[in-house]
This record gives sequence, structure tokens and C-alpha cells, in this order.
Amino acid sequence: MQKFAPPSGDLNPNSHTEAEVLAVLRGDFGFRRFGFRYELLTSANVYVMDLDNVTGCTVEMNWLADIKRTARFRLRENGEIDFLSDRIRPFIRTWLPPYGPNDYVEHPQGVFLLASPDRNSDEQNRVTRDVMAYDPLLVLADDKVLTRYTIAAGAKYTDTISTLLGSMPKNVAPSTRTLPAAMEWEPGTSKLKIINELFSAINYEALSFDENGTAIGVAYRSPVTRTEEFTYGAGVAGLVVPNVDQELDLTNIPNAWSLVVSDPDKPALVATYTNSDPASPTSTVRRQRTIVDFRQEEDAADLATLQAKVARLAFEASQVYEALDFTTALMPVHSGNDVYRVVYPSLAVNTKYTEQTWSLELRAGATMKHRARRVVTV
Amino acid sequence: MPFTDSDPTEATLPIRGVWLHDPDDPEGTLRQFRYGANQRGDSFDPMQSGTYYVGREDPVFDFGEGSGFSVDVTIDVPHGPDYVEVLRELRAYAASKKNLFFRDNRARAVYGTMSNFKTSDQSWGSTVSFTFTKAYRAVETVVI
Repeated sequence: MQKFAPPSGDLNPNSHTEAEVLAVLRGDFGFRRFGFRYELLTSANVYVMDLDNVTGCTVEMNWLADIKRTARFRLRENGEIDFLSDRIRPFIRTWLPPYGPNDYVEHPQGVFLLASPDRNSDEQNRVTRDVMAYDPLLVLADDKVLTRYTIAAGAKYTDTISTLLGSMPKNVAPSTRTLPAAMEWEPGTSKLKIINELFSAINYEALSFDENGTAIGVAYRSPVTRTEEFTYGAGVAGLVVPNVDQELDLTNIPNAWSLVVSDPDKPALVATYTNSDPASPTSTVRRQRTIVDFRQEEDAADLATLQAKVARLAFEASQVYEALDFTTALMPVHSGNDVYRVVYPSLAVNTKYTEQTWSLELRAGATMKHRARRVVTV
Repeated sequence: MPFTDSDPTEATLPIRGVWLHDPDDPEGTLRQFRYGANQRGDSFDPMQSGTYYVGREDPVFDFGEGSGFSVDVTIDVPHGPDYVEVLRELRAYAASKKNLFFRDNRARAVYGTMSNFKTSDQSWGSTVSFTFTKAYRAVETVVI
């Protein structure tokens, strides 16, 4: 999540505080005032000008997608944009008391490369373009190695990733870990795939770009250990629109597992595990029926190993995601993979969630859609 | 073409009725319509959007930077030597499909567009009504 109050400067000219911005965004005064600004950038993210021909914009974030942040712009044709190389960075401006000309904060919503600019002309002969746009992950997804790409044993993971990112603005947390053995990739492999495999090897999050267009590489932290950054409450300071969908699909969660090792040269090994815990809602006791996950052709050195495997399988199967779809007021501070608390009494929800997707329209009065999830042990 | 600003002068404009002109050619298009006083009105819309949130009894309103201002105008065009000419000029303004400048004797002075143009026949001539909606114009500001 972005800070409510950006550092003093262009994005916060009158140095408003976190508490001041939070009070306004939370609607403490019964109203909020927004403005929207669109910067045209070069391919090197250098500012060119403010655009005055953007007539609509929506931004979406999907933390589980390869290209995480996307946008859709509607532009009036004016010939000022090079759709093949220019970029657009939208900002949401929140006006603050005492509402002077510099009493605002601005939150960027991402840096976007432009694609598929459909043109259309209406009955008044106005030419507009509907432009799909993607964050800079697209550059790395499209850029593929032309020859077999090899990284020697002993190379530092994060140094290698920084090299692959080239001149892109980046903020990769350094790691001292080195490759235990050389790694290589086929010609035609995207740099994004290589980077994400390297990140995965040191238990980092997949590569993402923040709202300023900076590549981010950070170690994975379980949501359990992360502090919630905001609360979407349901009290007098609540910003949640009625109608929240909670999704916890337990229909096909097995409660019995059986693993079989069949080798013609050895006696068959069979390991089973049954969830008969009365505290578990999916157990054989609670369901009053058995749903079996049966797997053959497993590989295990001995029965003890197979028994351990079936126990692990049962544990992993009992970790399911609960998803929450809800709508809130426009909140310009979201980033990616945010952790926050949601309180919604009618569904008895009062717990911490991790944001999976969000989408917002840059329009005063528009609402913001969220899908958040958490792991539930059943 | 080089130009020089004149010295500021303070004066009260003795405006009567409605004045319309094309801001791209003020001298060539300026026209006064004298009749129809007390038949105008305006409306302002701050364009807020209210949303009810869980736990709040009253909505929270979001405002954008846009707002709407429009003037409902009715002009009387009595029979006379210029009757046809005045109707023709008013229709021409409406058909020009461009921003015009509107000013009247109630301190309204706005750039905008004409819409909902209607004429109604009367025993003494015609009434012409239209809506004048304020529009964006970057190159000039108006001081009332």
C-alpha cells in the first residue's frame, strides 16, 4: 500500500500529514474531492507533458497474473502520443482542507505502455482511441533471450536479476545467496520467466512494478507475519458498499487420501490417511461421508516415506483459500499484495486478508472493486 | 501580430437584454436581443455523487473537478421590420455548432453552447427559447 501522505514535494506541496489525508479519504467530513491527472512519459519514463485529452481511465491490479497492472484509457485523438513507445502515468489527486490551490496529495496508479489503440469516430466526427495498456512487466515478457542463457554457479541471484533488468528503475532487496550450480534456459525464454525463476529459488515474490514504474524484488513474507496496513471497517468510518461475497468452496475437499507405489520388482506400498478430526468441517465425522483422493504410481523409497507424503498431502489439502469480493469507495493508495483487515458484521468477517485483485475507475464518485483472500485451515 | 494592452478602465456596463457573439469574431457577430427580460434563469450543478456505506446512515459525497452551469433563456421577438432577420440570426447562432459568448443584464457572462433551441408563435411575434450551457475554453478568462 502506498503511504497516505506522500513525501513533501510535487505530490504533497503543503506537506499534509498521514492523519489529514486519512481523515479525508475515510470521508470523515461527509465528502471528498478528487481530481485526475495523466502524465505522458517517454519510453525511459521521462516526463513530457500533462495530457488533457484523456476522457476515461480504469486501472486493474491482479497480483497473481504475469502482467500484474493493466489499464484502459479512452483518449481524444490529438496526435501528441506515440503509441508505440510513449507511456502514461495516471494520478489521483485528493483535495484536502483548507482546499487552497496547493492543498492536495497525489497518488500515482502505475506506469503503462500503450497497446491496441482502436480508433473510432462518432456521429460528431470526434475521433477517440480506446487503448489497452500494461505495466513494464510487458517489456520483460516480450524480451526473450536469443541464445542459450547460462548463469554460472556462484553468481549472486539478485546481482543476476539486476543485470537482466538493465537500465530499468529498480529496487531489488540484495541477497547474499549464490547459485549452487549453473542454470540455463533455452533460446526464446522470456527474461520475465528467467527473473521469476531466480526469484523463486531464493523465495522472493515474483517481479512486480510499483505505481511509479520501479521494478520491485522483495523476499516473500507470509501474510500471517505481515502487519495490516488499513482496515475496511463497517462503522461510522466505513467505506464498504453493501453486498459482500464470501467464497469458501469446501465441496470437493477430500477427507481421505490413499497413495500407492506399484513397482513390479517390489511388493506394493499403500499409505492412507483419514481426516476424522471433529474440529475439521471437512472431516469424515462432520461430513458423514468420505471423499477419497486416490493416487497411484507414486514414488517413495519406503513405506515410512510414503506415509509422510500422504500426511503432507492431507495437510496441504486442508489449507484452502477463502475469497472475499467487495466494493469500496475510491481509495487511491492501493498497490499490490496489500494486507488489510476487513470487518463485515453480517458475514461475521473480522480478519486479515491479502489483496488479490483490485480495479478502479478514475472518476469522482466511482467505486473500487476488490478481491481479497486468506488461507483457512479446514 | 503585436498588440498592446490598454490601461484598465473602471465603468459600469449598461447592459439591457441579452448579448451574444462568436468569441472568434466579436466585432462581426455581436448582437443584442432587447426583449424578454425576467424570463431567464440559471442552474449550477456541482456534479457530486453520493454513496451509502455499511455502518453509515448518511451518504458520503465525492466531488470531481467538473461542474455544470447553464442558463435557460427566453427572448421575445416582436413583429417589426427586423422580425425575420432576428429569428434568422438566432437560428444561425444555434446552428453554428461552436462555442459562443453569452452576457445579460443579471451579471451572467459565460462561454458555452446553445441547445434545445425552440421558437413558439405568438400573436405579437415569436418567443425563442434555448439553453446556454457553459463550456471549457482555455484561451480567455472572463471577469464579471
